[in-house]
Amino acid sequence: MKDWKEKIQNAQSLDEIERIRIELFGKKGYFAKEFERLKTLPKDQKPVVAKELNSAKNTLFQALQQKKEELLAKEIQRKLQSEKIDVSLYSVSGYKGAVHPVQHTMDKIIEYFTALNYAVEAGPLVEEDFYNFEALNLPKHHPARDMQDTFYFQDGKLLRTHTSPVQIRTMLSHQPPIRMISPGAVFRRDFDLTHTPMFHQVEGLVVDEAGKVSFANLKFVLEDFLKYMFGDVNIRFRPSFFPFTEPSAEVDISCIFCEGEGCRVCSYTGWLEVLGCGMVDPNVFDAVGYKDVSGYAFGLGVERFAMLLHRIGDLRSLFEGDLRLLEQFR
Amino acid sequence: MIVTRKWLEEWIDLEGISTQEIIDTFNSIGLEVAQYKKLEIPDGVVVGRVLSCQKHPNADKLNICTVDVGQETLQIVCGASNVKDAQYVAVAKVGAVLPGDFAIQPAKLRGVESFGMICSSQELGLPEMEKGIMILDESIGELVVGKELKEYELLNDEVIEIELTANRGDCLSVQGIARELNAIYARPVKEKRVDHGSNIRMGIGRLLGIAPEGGIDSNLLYKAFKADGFTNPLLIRFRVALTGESFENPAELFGYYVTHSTGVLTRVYGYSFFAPQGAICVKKDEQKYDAVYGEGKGSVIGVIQYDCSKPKENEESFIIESSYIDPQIISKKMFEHPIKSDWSFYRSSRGSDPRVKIGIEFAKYLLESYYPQTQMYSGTHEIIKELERKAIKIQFSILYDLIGQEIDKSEIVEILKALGFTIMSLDEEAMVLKTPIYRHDIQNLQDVAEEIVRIYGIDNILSQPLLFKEANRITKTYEQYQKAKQLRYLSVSQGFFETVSYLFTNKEKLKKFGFETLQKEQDLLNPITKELDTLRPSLIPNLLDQTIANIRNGKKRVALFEIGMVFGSDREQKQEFALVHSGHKEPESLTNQGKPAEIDFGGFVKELAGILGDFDLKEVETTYNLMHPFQSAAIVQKGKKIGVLYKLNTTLQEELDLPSTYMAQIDFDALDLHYPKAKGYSVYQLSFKDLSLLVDKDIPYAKIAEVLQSAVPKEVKRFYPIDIYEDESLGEKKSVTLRFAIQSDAKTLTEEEIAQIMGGILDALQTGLGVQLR
Repeated sequence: MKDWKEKIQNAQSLDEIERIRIELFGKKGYFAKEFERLKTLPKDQKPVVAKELNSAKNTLFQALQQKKEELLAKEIQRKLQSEKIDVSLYSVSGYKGAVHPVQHTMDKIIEYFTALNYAVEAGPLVEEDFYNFEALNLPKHHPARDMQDTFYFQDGKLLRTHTSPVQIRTMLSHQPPIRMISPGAVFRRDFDLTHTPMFHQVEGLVVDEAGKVSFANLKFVLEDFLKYMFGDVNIRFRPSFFPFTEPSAEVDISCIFCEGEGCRVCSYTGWLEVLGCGMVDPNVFDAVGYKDVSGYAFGLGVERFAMLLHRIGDLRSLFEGDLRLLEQFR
Repeated sequence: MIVTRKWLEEWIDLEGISTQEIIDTFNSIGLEVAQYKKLEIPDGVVVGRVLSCQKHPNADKLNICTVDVGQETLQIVCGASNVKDAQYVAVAKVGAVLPGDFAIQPAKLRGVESFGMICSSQELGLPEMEKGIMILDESIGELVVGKELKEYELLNDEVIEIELTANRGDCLSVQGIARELNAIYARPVKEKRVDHGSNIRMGIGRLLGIAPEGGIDSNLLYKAFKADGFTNPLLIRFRVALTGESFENPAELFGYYVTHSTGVLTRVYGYSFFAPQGAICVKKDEQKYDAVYGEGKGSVIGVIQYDCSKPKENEESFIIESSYIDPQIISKKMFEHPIKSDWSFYRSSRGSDPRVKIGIEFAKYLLESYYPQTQMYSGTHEIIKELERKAIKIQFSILYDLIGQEIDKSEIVEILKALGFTIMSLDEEAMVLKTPIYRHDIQNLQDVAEEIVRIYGIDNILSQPLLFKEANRITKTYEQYQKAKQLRYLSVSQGFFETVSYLFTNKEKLKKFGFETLQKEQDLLNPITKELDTLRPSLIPNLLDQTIANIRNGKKRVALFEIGMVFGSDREQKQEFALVHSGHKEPESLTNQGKPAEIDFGGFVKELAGILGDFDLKEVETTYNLMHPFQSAAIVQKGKKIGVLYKLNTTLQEELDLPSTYMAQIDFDALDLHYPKAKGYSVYQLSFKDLSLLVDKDIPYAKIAEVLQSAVPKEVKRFYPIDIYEDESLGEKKSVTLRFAIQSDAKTLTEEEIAQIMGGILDALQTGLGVQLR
């Protein structure tokens, strides 16, 4: 009995277990023989021996079963082990592309304003003087036209210098209330370290009946927007001038690089200019035939936002498709 | 606009206010400070008096000077030619360290010892005023030999550059800026004038008369002075240099200084220019500009002064002119008839100060204070029309609605008065005010509101959320934006990098590539460079340029895409989606033993399919030289052509030194990304059967598909090629293996039924194309 137990314990493979099983429980196995022998015993001894035999059979059967499971588990383990690979070899890089940082920034801006129920509007890139200048209170001889060096075509049309003509087009095709943004490319004849002949703007316009829209409302939405974009920054409004808004302001955020201490990026002022805005000039409403309305407008440069948000140093690099830059945004 | 602290202090008392505080104030009231600089002359630079000056025996251009610097007399070798006329100079003594870490040491110049340096203004970190050394005079304070130059406050000034907005012509002067500070600090702007005493002077009328011909738009005021040689003192030259201007003619510099100080356009003429006529003749010129004539045309008011009327070197009498012309009139005029202009047009077109008397009075004050060699004539000549000040009615309720909160009326009145407005009437509901004569930019209530807001402080306005009527504001533009966004992210997942390129490209290059270009009469008039001289007809040329640059940078796999506007030959705008894949198919890795294959047709198609979904490819005529004539295809989606894909023409590929390169151009609007509707589907057994056919080599698969399309029964759900085999043993034929997916909507098909379907297919192919079973 003890010998059998040891034999089972020492079995090394499922084959060996199977052999032991046959030796023990097979038709010609140990127990078959023992039970055969039982018949020859005197009657009074039979029940005792039979009981012992049955109990031994059960014990050995269980031991065998247990060992078999143990070996089976080991076997599976061994099989899996043989399939082992060095997963660390398969670290990947370079399969996915990347969205352009300017577009990514644009997405984030659009996401904010659409969540606030602004409509997204667009207009043609090749514009007419009326929409780009005249209707925006920039008559032909206005000195502010100097601010925007314009690309012209042989036939007198021009490439829009800002997204503001979309305001005019939207106001001419809709009735107030209007609440819109217009993202898109704009063009100015300027090409140096900090200027590219094309860049992107997002324009915003809100118009409602007279007396409804105030400068305080403009301040609220822009403060909230800039905190959404840049996190916990300080925001300041500085009075400024745009021909199409009055009062006008430029909006600064505290420098996100030096937290207002003063550094190269903010020219040691502690502030970064990020937006222009104001209350729509009555002359603009006149140009589109709106009466008794009030409204605000704002505009921002997307590249500027992208450069600040993604720590990009060179504006021109945004238009070169240089993978050394783009791969970083994977 | 450049001002300095000391210059400002001539016009307003700034005691007790730090420069930083002034800068903050400027920023908060809409005068954006672009730059601030404190000038500091280094230690060891002192006032020196030149005692003697002799030519260097061994060098033509050098002088040996003895200079009294107080405690001692130094021998200094100086190379500047103007040292001969100098009395007082700036001497950097041995040990002084000048800007640029230039340490002064004893030196020997061509055998002569030199102990120090006589300095030019630039060597001290000041702007250039004249060639040679800086000659000192008492306009900067009493000159004490040996006194450190850094102790002269007027030279060690603080320079503030303000980036003025186009509407603020009134701030193009030191006086104008001082006015703004007055509105904040309530310190009055000083008047700069001298009243003559009793000494009898000759009247201007004895010198010359004035002959206006009428119909003039300008206001003009003239005064005359006599001078025994006209030179500007150091302080005036120094400040003009700080503003970045330089003038050959000293009298013109003087006029500019008066203009920059007061905001009144002021010029100086030589009397000799008017002497032959004996009068200043003012009339419209041939283009209807107001012009001043003497011996010829001397100037155009608000635009330019011609050299002929500027004082000559030996001029004895001078005529000062202060002028004003309405900015609207002059800028309109310039727009209609552009002519050459000088520094004055920038100011006149933005609105100079119309109070011409202030200009003349200041000129007189300057001459009497700093130009001892001059003597004024009494009296003036003038052509002056009274100017109207604009009256504006302000309804307080409208003002408050615009700002978004109430501001105390007394505070409003105070702000406006400090800015020079006159309150004509005031009650509970409204006020009527008159704008200051120099504020051309203020026309209506909103302009006035801006004045109130900027002085009151935007920071003091409480932000308020706007209540707005909610509505469905999902526009077509928004839907297109979402579609583009979806495409962008799909492309990214296929390993493509988004790029943004200029709307411009090069016309010659387009022609070379075979693209259509803009019609000449619709092309760009003023391109920024020759390289970018037209609008792009496709995104491909720019993508190709960027690909070339990346390959040159050593990138082995370049996959780029862009979604952007392109222009047809008559400049119609449409949106394109374009992709380029050049070089390696995938990154180098373990799975490709570091040797990825180059991108091929099938690989590129697979990438596109991951973005666009299912599409068919059809042979297409090549339209550009860029396209490989035998590897170009139309992309057909749901039966509609939406674009083309092609390999870059091998000739060009070699010329551009590129690896294998594939490109796709897709019409963004034609591309359909709609989420489909569900159809029913069969629940019965789906079987696959393959068929290998022998067909003529030049029969494209599309032809086979075409025949099959009309021949297969509805049980054939799908068929597609799975193998192509060409071999010499097949001769002029190729073997095409097709797989058919067969399934009935009504029952499980038996083997016989399937065989029957396959038989039918084969029959159709045999009759339609003459193919045989392989």
